[in-house]
Amino acid sequence: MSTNSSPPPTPTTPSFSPSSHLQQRTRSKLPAECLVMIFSHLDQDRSTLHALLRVNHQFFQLTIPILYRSPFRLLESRAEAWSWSERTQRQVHLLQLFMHVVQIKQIGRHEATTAAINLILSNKQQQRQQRY
Amino acid sequence: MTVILVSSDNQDFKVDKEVAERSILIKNMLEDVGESDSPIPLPNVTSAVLTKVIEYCEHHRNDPVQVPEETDDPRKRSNDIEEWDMKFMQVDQEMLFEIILAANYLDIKPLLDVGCKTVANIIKGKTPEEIRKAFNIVNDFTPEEEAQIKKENEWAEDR
Repeated sequence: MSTNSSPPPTPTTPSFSPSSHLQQRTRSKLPAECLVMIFSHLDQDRSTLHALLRVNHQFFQLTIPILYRSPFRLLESRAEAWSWSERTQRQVHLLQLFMHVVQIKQIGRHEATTAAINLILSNKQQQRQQRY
Repeated sequence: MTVILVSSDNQDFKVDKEVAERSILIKNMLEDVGESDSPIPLPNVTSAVLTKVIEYCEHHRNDPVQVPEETDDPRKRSNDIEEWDMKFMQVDQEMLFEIILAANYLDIKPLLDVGCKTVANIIKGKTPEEIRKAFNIVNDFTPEEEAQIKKENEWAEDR
């Protein structure tokens, strides 16, 4: 009936997307628990852990706890052929990151405290109003 | 004593109980059911994968039961795959992932370990793009997120 019977997908169709989906193989997806087990074997391998962070959201989430379990030890590793200044520079970067995080947390705490005080004050005000 | 395992594509595998019990899942099943000749269906495992898994269990049938506590010494872990296991794991990546899935499902810890170690060795030293290709996944980060990750983890990047 329909004249335009859907043409078979031509394998010659050029693909624009760089990550070609033409070769969509049905590769089994490993569950997160297996991925964590795999990544844990690389817990001394700073370079590969850093690469894993940048793969996608899921890999990022699973790798962060492993990379940050003992980051200073990773930087002290003898496996890294860094100069003294290179190593120090990385340690400084890491320290700066931690200090930045602490700052954010303190700001957050400050805001929370202010909010709590405001809440108490407004409650007291309400109570006072109810009393009169 | 033997037990019959049935793969997802309905193939029967007759194996020694001792071999089948390398799988904690099957071991517990047999204990729950008691003496019984009824076949054990494994709807998550194809015959191709089950063949491999049984081959592994046959080879390791006399291994002592693995102590659950892991060595904390990082040098003792990873890469230390014994020779037979290494050869056994020389399969295409699709099969390797299938074996890991089956070992996880069947609860065969040593096989799961060997599989995970093998994958770890494969991705060692690879770039994010190479890892994506190996796992057949796409990059779902926005350029902004990528920039932030790069900035925050600068201490760990390769230069």
